[in-house]
Formats: sequence, C-alpha cells, structure tokens
Amino acid sequence: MSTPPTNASINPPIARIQNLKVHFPIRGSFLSFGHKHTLKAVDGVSLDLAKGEILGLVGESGCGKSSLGRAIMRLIKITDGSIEIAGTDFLALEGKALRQVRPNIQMIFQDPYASLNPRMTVYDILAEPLFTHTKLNSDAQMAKIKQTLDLVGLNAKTCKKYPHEFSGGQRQRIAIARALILDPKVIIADEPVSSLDVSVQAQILNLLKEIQTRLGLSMIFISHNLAVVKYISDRIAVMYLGKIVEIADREALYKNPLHPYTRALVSAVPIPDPKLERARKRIPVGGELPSPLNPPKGCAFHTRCPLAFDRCRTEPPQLIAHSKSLHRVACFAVEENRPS
Amino acid sequence: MSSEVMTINTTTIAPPIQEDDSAGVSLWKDAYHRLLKNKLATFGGLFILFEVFICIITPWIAPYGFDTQNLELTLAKPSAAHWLGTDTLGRDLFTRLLYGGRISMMVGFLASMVSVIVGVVYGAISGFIGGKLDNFMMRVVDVLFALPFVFLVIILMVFFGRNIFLLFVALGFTQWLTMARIVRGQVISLKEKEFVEAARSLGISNWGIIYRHLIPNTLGPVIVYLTLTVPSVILDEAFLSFLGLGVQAPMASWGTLISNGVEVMEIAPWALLFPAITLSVTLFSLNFLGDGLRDALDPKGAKD
Amino acid sequence: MEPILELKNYQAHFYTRRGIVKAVDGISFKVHPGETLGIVGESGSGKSVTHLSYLRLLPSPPLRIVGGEVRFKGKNILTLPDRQLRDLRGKSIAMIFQEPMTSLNPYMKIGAQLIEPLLIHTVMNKKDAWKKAIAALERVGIPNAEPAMNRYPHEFSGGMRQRVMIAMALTTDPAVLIADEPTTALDVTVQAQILDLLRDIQKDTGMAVVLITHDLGVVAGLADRVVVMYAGHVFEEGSAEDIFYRSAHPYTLALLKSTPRIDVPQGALPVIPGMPPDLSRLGKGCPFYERCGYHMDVCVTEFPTSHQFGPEHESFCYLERPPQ
Repeated sequence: MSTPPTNASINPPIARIQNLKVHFPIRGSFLSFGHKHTLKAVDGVSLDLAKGEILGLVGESGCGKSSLGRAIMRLIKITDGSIEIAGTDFLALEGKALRQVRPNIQMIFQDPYASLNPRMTVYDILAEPLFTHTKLNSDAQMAKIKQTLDLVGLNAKTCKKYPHEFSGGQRQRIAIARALILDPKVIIADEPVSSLDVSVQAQILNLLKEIQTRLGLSMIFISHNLAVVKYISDRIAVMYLGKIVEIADREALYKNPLHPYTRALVSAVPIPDPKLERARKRIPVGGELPSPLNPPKGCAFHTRCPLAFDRCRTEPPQLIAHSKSLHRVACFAVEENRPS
Repeated sequence: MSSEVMTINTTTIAPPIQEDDSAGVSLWKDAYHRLLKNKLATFGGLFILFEVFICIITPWIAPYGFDTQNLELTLAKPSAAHWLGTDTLGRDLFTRLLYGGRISMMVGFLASMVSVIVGVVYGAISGFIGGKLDNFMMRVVDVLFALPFVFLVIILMVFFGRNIFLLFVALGFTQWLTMARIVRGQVISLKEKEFVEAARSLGISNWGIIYRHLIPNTLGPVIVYLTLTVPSVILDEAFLSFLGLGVQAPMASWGTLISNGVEVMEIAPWALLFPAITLSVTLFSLNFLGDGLRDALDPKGAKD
Repeated sequence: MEPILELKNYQAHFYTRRGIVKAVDGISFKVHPGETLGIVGESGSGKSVTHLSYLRLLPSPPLRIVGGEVRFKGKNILTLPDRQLRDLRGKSIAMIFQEPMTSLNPYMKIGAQLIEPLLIHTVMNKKDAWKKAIAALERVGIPNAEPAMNRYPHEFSGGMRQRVMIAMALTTDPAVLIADEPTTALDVTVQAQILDLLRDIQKDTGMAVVLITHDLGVVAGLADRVVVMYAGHVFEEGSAEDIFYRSAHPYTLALLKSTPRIDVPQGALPVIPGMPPDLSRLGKGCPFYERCGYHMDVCVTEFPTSHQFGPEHESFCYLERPPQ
C-alpha cells in the first residue's frame, strides 16, 4: 500500500505511523472447533504527527482510538504496520533498547485515581523515571522534580504526600508531571479530562495547552468529547471501527465536515445555547454500531449511512485529499461528488 | 465592586492541599489507625507481642531447666514451687510451657516467613509473566496441593531424619502454595492497572515493576494471610508433635505438652489444661489480629 | 399552576465518622406538570442525592433527612410511611439512572423486569402487563419488541439498554420521571437519540421530567427551566433562557464560560480556580466563596438570600446586579 500524502508542512513529522493494525484474536468456543474471530481494534491507520502540533483523535466507543494510543505507546501488541518516532524505528526495538528509547514518548492516562501507584509518594513517583534513565544525583533529581512540579502548577510541598491525599485535578497534574519529567518529544493524552469535574477540566486543558507551547511538545489528544478536542487541537482525525474516516484542520473539520459520520457526530454534540440547540437540524445516524468482530464489508459505515450506494458495500474507501487541500476523507460519496 | 471573575489561565496554580508541610499519611499509617480502633484486633496484637516478649526472656524467668527431672514429685498439682504442677517425670510444667512456647512460636513464625517469601516470589513471577509459564507454574502448584500434608512430612522425615530445621521446611512448604495463588491473582489484576501501564511506558524494567509497583500493592492480602498462616502452622506443628513426628523429647512444644497431657488427663488434668488454653488463646489472638488487619488494609474503607 | 413536585428548604445530611457531610443543605425548587426541569451541577453538588434521598433509595443511616418538605401533588411525602412511599415510587415517580448495565438485573430477562412494576403497582394480570410492556418497548424504539422481551440485558447495547430503562419507567404512566445523568455514559450520537426520545415521549404523555446532568448542552436542548446547584445549595433557578443568556450568578456564568463549545471559536478558556469544597467542612457562608471572583466579606458570614431578576428567575448571591 503506497504511503498516503503527508501533511507536507514546514515541520517534518516527529512521529510517523503507517498502516498500523491491532487485531485481537478471539478464540471461538470449544464447540466451534477452534474457529477464530478477530477483533480488529485498529485496522490500518496511518498518521503523521508534525512537530509542535496537537492532533486530536475523536470517535465513539469501539472506534479504536484508545487502542491506537496504547499501540503507539507499545503497551499492547501490534499486528502490523510501522511506527517511527523522532527518526527511530520504534517497532524494531525490544527489551532494554526499547526501554531506553521510551522517554521520547509518554502517556497521560484517563483515570487519575488509577494511574498513580497508591503506595508511592509524589517524590517517589517522579524520581523513579529519573533514577531509571538518568545519572543525576539526588540533589539534581530534587531540582528537576521541583522544576517539573512548578510547570504543572504544584509546589514542592506535595512531594511527601500520597496520591489519595489529592483531588482528581491535582492527581492529574501529578500524572502530567510524571509524563513530562523525562523531557519527552511526544505525549499521548488518553481522555485526560474525561474523569474530571467540569470546573476543573478547563484548568487542565489550559495547562496542557500552555505546557505544549512552552516546551514545544507534540501531542496526540484522544477524547470522545468533540468540544474539548476542538478547543485544544490543531488538526483532528475522526475514527470509526478501527479506521480513520476523516482528518482535517480544526476549523475545516467543524465548519465543513465531509464524511457522513463526522457530520452526524458534529450535529449530535449539544451546544449550551437553548435557542441554537433547539433550532438545529440533527443529522441522524440510523441503526446500531456493528460488532467489531464482524465489521461490514466495504466501507465500515455503509450500514448506517444515508448516502451509501453500491460501491460502498464492496470496496473499502481510502483516505484521499479533498479538492487539493489537506482535508482528507475516506468516502466514495464525497469522492464522486454525489449530492447529499 | 466587581473583579475579573476568572483567571484566564496560565498554569493556574493548583489549589492548596489540605494538610501543610507534614509528611503524607500513607495508606499504611491510615490502616494502622484503623486497626487501633478495632479493640479485638488490638488486644490480639498486644497479646502476641506480650508472648513474643516472654519467649525472648524465657531463659531468665524460667524457674527450672526444661528437662530438670524430679522423680519424687511427679504429676504434682499446681503449687507455690511449681506454678502449673509437674509432668510424669517431675519436670516443671510452667518452665516447659515457656520453652514449649518458644519452639511453637518460632516454628510458627519462621515457617510462615518461608512460605511468604517463596509464595510471593513464585506467585509474582507466575502472574507477571503469564502465558505458558504461568500455566505450568500453576499446574505444579495444583499437583503439590493434592499431596496430603502428613504423608509429605513423613516422607521428608524418613529421608532426612528428624530435626527441627526440617520441621520448618516441611511446614513452610505446605503453606506457600496458597500464598502463591493469592499473590498471583493479585498480580494479574494489578498488571492491568493504569499505574503499571504508566511504569511500563516510563521504561521501568520488569524487575522494577514487580518490586516497586506490584509487590507493595499485594502486601495487604499477604500480611493478612501471613497472620492467619501462623496459627495454622502452629496447629500443624502441634498436630505433628501430637503424633510423635514433631520435636523430639526432651524438647517440648505446645503440641508435645498437649500430647503428654492427654495421656494423664484423668489424673492430672492441669497438665493438659494449661498448654491447651495457652495454645487456644494464642490462636485466637492471631486470628483476631488477622481479621483486623484485613479490614484495616481494605482499600475500600480507606480515607479515599 | 400547582407544581407537581416541590421541595422547600430540603436538607439531607450524611452522618459519617469524619463528620457531617451536608450533601443537601436547604434547597427549594418547583417542578410543574408537563415541563422539563434541568438540574445542573458538578459532582458533590447534591443533585443526585436530593432525589435519591427523598425516595428513600439511600441507606439511612448514614443518611438523615434533617429538614424541609418534599411535596408531591401537594402532599409532603417525607412523612409517609415506607409502604406508601414505595407505592408512590415506581408508579407515580419513576427514576432512571446513568449506568443501564447496573440498573438492570443481569439475571432476569427484560420482559420479566418490565412487567414487574406493573404487577406490583397495578391490578393488571400478567397477560395484560406483557402486552403493555411490549407496547412500551415499541414506543422507545426497540426493534422486534416481542422477541426482545425474552432477551437478557447484556444482549443489548448501552443505548438500547437505556431505552429499556425508559420503557420500564413509562409502563406505569408516572407523573414525574427523574432522569439521573441518563446519557452521560453513552456515545454522543446515541445520546442525541435518547434525548430526542425523551422529548418525544414527554410531548405525548405530558409527564414532568427532572433531568439531572452536568452537561450544559444537554440541558439547553431539553429543559424548560433550570436549577443550578453547588455544594448542596441552589445557586440559581430560572427559565432556560434566563440561565443561559441572563445568568445572574457568578458560578453559572463561570460554568458557561469555561465549557468548550463546538460552534464558536474560543480563545483562551476562562477557568474557575480552585476545586469543589469538602462537604464536611462547610461554614455558614456561601460555599463558592473561595473560587468566586466577586466575593465580598459578607459572603463568608451567611448564605445569601434570594434575589429576583425576573418573574421566574432568582439567584442566591449578594450581588445586586448580574455579573458580566
């Protein structure tokens, strides 16, 4: 499969993912004579992450965005494809070599209550990566820890305390500090604000935005919340049943969504404005999400798509640039300019 | 007088933490406080500590030698000279109870430590590595589980002769199996937790993950099981000694004392009564302590 | 119009080892027949505990209803004996919850679960109840309703299960439906379907809906009137337009401004500093004091009295004029 056209910007991509596949084999029941099913969580995803960019990844449950995030982090097994981070072939490394390279790409997890070891103090949590990867003496470690805590808006008094003594928002800051302490180049944020109260979400979003700008980080921001993703991302990719169906700049995606699924998604997001919200015409999505164990042939969305025609049922569409812009869609109806 | 409602961000400083400069309250400390509130458990714990203390100072407080015989005064009733009476060979029962306690407690704790160390390491490795190795290791445990305990001890005794060290090994050997299963189960569920995923993404080595992340978080159930293993081992030892397979005469353990006491219980009931009561109270105390620890260490009840 | 449900100075506290948690501390609001009242608040606001507590669905102790009245059709239900309250609950006041998986019994076929409230609360026989249940399933959009009656909850998707829950609530023709975060656990497209369904059903049956949520967008789409809660208190009550376009309370305004929207480009997102308070350590004053940009000395001393800003619009804040 040829490499799709890249986001040919001034910055060369800091991360390049090509045709990534994560397929989980599901063993059939004893009586089905070993007939196996495959859960295609991620089914051929290619992405470029430009340096200093925030790429949003949206989709509903079962779309594979979390699996994609974990696959890029190599926390789950990858069936096929390649991942290149800062010029290194990430998938070729194993064992110690892999561990040495891990500081380049770090993850922020969704649940601040589960992502910190309850038996370790904040100091322990932040010092562990330092003594694993650097040769800093304890004074230098302390200095680095203080500096990182400062970056996330926490003071040094937190060091002696344990995670359960903090609120959700504070814990998430600690988790962010941990992700930053090794000076990574890429951060993958997996629903980092979804478990937080609304009044705290804005704090953490702004924090992430500011850190990203200050440190020149590149980020993949995974979320099911389209409004949050719109606020923070430069570019956004929409996923459905393991594939990217549309990818575009923030403004382009929300002003002019092309893929029928994206359009339905955008129209379904409630707007906190009674007059606007009630006047809106909702683009309905019929039917139910197909089982990822048995995705539809051809375009995975055709069973629910108002624009589906013959070609959709037999051929899977590719992500193709729409009218010479960087806005790419995987849809035959759009490709053939069929009226909607 | 209105002021700007909200900060237009820039690393809004996180809200101040409730406590001040003090060191954090770890989950251990919190558990300790909760344990103290449980009166039965606290009593149990204190009693055990008391017993341990007595065991340590036994050589200084025992009025006689543990094998000092006085054939003039066999099966004597409790008196000023012999607080708990004497046995069939005129040996002071109080002294024998003290020395017997040393043996029983020592066997109990040491054998349990053996079982913990072997069980934790075995279970942690099996659970962490998973897959075929885990399968194999657990089948080994299953097979060993099926072996009858007494049978095993007898075989060991036959091959290696009778000595107290062997007793530790035999007793610890039987207990590590359950410990391994418990730890393995814990490790398997912990493996999927996000803080372990975070450790992996930070490039922490496998050993680092097991040592700093998995084991400390399994210690709760391990400690509880440990305090419940000790009475089990002491009882097993008593049982073996009762059958004549445990410590050799003239050394005493609570088991041998009970065994001897049963023989003369009709004419000298005190010879059975005192060691039996002591053993029972010890076992109760350990059980209360274990129950209390389990409740105190239960994360669901914690400050969260 | 006589309100169908009315709370007056309702207080419900939890008496715990750590102290008294004032989950609900003196709230008052009305629900009119046929309207949708949105109750907006974050975690700890007391929005769920309010209804769970007067329906006696929370263990008591540690919960204790400390004061106030809850009037259903004019009658104070707090003083009703348990038996009578149970008759009311499930028949006249129905409730649906956030997690359809845990609200439905995984071991019972949905048919059995659907007819249960009918058999308990009405004199219908099993056959008629079965028919009514099938009709309810069809009403909520479950395809192949009749065979669906013989399926188990896990055979349905999250959205479908929530529809089943709504069907279950509807079978007894309740006067009030309390929906506690009914779409929070659902995908956004499914959420849209469920909200449309609720709106639809409400038009048909004329029942009142109390929609509890933290999502301002959901409230904007469905609610006629809105109540904003924080730390066990009501901060503001008014029509949807009052609350969204003419917010009179600094908290409401702050909440609106700090919520990302997909329709307008947003520069830097304003932020509410600090975090929600510890409900066991509240003083007498306004619980929002520390985080409020408009706070004054008087705010700490006592909880603000209400200010009317419109015929139905009141706000509990010492500010004379609405914040900008």
